[in-house]
Amino acid sequence: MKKPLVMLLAGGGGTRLGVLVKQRAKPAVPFAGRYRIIDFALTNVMHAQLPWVGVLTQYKPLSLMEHMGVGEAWNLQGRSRGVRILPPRTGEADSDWYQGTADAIWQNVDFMDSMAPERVVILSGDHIYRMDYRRMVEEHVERGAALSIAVMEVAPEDTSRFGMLWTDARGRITRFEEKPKAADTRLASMGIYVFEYPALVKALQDIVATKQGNDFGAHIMPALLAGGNVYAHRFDGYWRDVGTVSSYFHASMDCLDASSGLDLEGWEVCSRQETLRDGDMPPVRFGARAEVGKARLSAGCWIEGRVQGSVLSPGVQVGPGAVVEEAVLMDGAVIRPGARVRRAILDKGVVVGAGAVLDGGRDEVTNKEYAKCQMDGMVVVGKGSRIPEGCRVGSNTVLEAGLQEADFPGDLPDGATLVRRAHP
Amino acid sequence: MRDVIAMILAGGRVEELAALTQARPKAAVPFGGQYRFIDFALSSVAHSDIGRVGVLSQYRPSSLIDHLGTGEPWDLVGRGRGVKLLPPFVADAQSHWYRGTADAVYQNLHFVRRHKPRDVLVLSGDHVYRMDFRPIVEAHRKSGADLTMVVKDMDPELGRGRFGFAEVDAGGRVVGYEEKPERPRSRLASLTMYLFRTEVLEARLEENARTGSSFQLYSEVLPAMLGRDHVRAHRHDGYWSYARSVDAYHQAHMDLLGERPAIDLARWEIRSRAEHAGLGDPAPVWCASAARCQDCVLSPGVRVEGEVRRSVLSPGVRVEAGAVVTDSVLLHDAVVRSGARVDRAVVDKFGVIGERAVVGEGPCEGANRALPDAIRGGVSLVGKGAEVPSGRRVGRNCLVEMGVQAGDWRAPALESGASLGRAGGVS
Repeated sequence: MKKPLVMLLAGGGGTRLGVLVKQRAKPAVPFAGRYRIIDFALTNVMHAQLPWVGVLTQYKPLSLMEHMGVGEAWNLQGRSRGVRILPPRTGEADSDWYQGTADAIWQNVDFMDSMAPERVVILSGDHIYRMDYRRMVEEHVERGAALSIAVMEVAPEDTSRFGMLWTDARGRITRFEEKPKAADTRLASMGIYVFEYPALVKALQDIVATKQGNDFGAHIMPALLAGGNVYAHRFDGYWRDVGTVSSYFHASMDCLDASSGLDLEGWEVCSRQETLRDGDMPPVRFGARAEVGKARLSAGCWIEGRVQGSVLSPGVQVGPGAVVEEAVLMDGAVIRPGARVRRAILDKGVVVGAGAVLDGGRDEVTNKEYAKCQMDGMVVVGKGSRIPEGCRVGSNTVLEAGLQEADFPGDLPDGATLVRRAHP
Repeated sequence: MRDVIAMILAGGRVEELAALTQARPKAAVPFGGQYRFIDFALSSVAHSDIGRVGVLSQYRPSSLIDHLGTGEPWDLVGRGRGVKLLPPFVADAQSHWYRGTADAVYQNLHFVRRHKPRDVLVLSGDHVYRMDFRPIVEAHRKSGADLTMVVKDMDPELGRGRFGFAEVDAGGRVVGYEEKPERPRSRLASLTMYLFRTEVLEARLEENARTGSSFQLYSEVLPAMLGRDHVRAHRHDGYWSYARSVDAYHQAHMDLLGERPAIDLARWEIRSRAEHAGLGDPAPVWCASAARCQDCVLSPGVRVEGEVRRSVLSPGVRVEAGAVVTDSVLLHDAVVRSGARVDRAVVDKFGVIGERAVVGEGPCEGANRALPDAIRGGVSLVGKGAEVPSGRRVGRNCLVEMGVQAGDWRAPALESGASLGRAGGVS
């Protein structure tokens, strides 16, 4: 059996991650310290020993391309293996931006044809999970399915966030509904598909080429259901869509305790070490008065204060007397002496001035601009912003990227959004 | 600097490091958590923009070969760049192992000639420092020197019998040199780093190959050049250390700690190849709720549920709940099980300290009886893959040899100064 070709959808903007996706695609958002979200899908590909991956990019792909490199971190470099970045390109029309997930795959049918696959695995680059795709493919082949969809059980109150599926006793999918308010099934699609290649091409020709639809969940899957040869593959491990500020934060906290199911060590997650400095990041350094409990600290961190229940990316500094609680601090963030950061997500290079207080955790005043992000009381600070000394920032607040101290009018109340002033 | 090549001497086993160099040459001994000794020389070479490096090695080179790889962490890949491991080889009737540092370079003069460098930088692979060689090359050429040797101001009391000392005139010219004198006549100790003009190096090494007996650069080639060639000294004022014993290896690690560590890894920008067992990358350091980590350096993949103070931990080390590690160096994937205590110890790769076991207890009374020069300062060494079973106790200046297993332990305790071997032999 030929190993299936992987098509990895990594184009999404993921707008509900707010300022975290201002300058990068959602799969490129840093996660669990040293990783990016896409590492989890790529790790699964590597452990399943799948040799060829096409990565479909569209929204701000630079960080993603930089991160992928030539794919050697996931065993995707060699004579008979590789990774291809597949950005949109001009075709017969002047510009053929990808109109949806199925459209993106359709526009790269030439790439797929050139690989002459028997089967194609379609993945999304923005989920946190560990899964052996080989078992899904085996089951798919045994059943003689045209399409298999990975499914998991979700709580009844969550059905409105997922594509919900109904199956018969043999696991054949009999019905599908996109994000129903209520449903008498608990099986949700995880957005992981195994297609027989001819069936995939035919569906794309019938639906996308005739402009009847361009999305897998909404258009392709329902059309194939009619053929009666679509099966569900049950998965019961840890899986999270980290698409909102709240879900991103809670999944981040899960990496602090392997009993959550997110087991970074056990999963053997692979990432590419990106060198942004002239030397390697040194090991983590703890000062004589450091107090660190329940935390993940990446290389290059220097801790002199207190860090509790937090996840720190490479090169973060926490000064003497500073307190960081239940926070996610991305690469190179600096917490100056005496500052306090609670329930916050700080993007790369954020500097919190001495004595400043980021006081997240209260979900009383809604942030109007970023309500759809499910702020959950968090303080979210965009890349490179500098919070002035002594400044107090309330909950459900968003400080956009690139703010300088002078951009701050003073303290920021709960629910506030601070935008960078237009500089002349 | 296209016209300088570096030759790094990385061959030696060095008895003084005891079990640490049983399975690897000293240059490949882990240092500073995630690095190996040779990373320091290679990083200084890389930051000095030297692109061509030969690494001379003959003792168990496999870990060194793995570590160097194609040399990309040090920018040693590309046109006009590269790192080459130079092992001894069989060529003709005179083939032999490297007989000394001078002979090792001599046997690889073909490598030097092929690249036609103007100068050759000869370094040791087991020193800890950060240096920019560019100003040294510049001064060397400006003065027309045949050899520039790097020296450091050192208390003669500390260096006597250990270092070569150079006498330097006001113009920076070396006018006298003594190898390991009992009473040094100067304060300038040689750091065994040499920058040679290529033609002079070739001529002096050929001479030494015919007439030498120790075949060492420091004891034969350098003295023979004095008075004949233009030899200059360059003074290095920054940090430099060289672990010539288990005690010194431990002490150099303590230089990574404190408010202002003498070895400032962040500023030095040391480059390395991240090597680890398993397919995944080492996860970020994990501290459990009850963990206590103070004044320590922890590498990626370390997991701490207990307490770690004044210690340096390599990737993959685990310190379980209730365990206490103080003033110690734990190398890759060592495990300290719950309730164990480790004080003033070096635990090599894959070492296991069992539940409630104690390593390093009691007063320090006298050196290790088998290796009195290497282990005398109170530090105990647990060799690669060795196990101290649950509840056992190990005193000071002890050596648990590489690969000692639970079954090798006959007594409940290893008293201070004793060594335990694989067949259970205590000495």
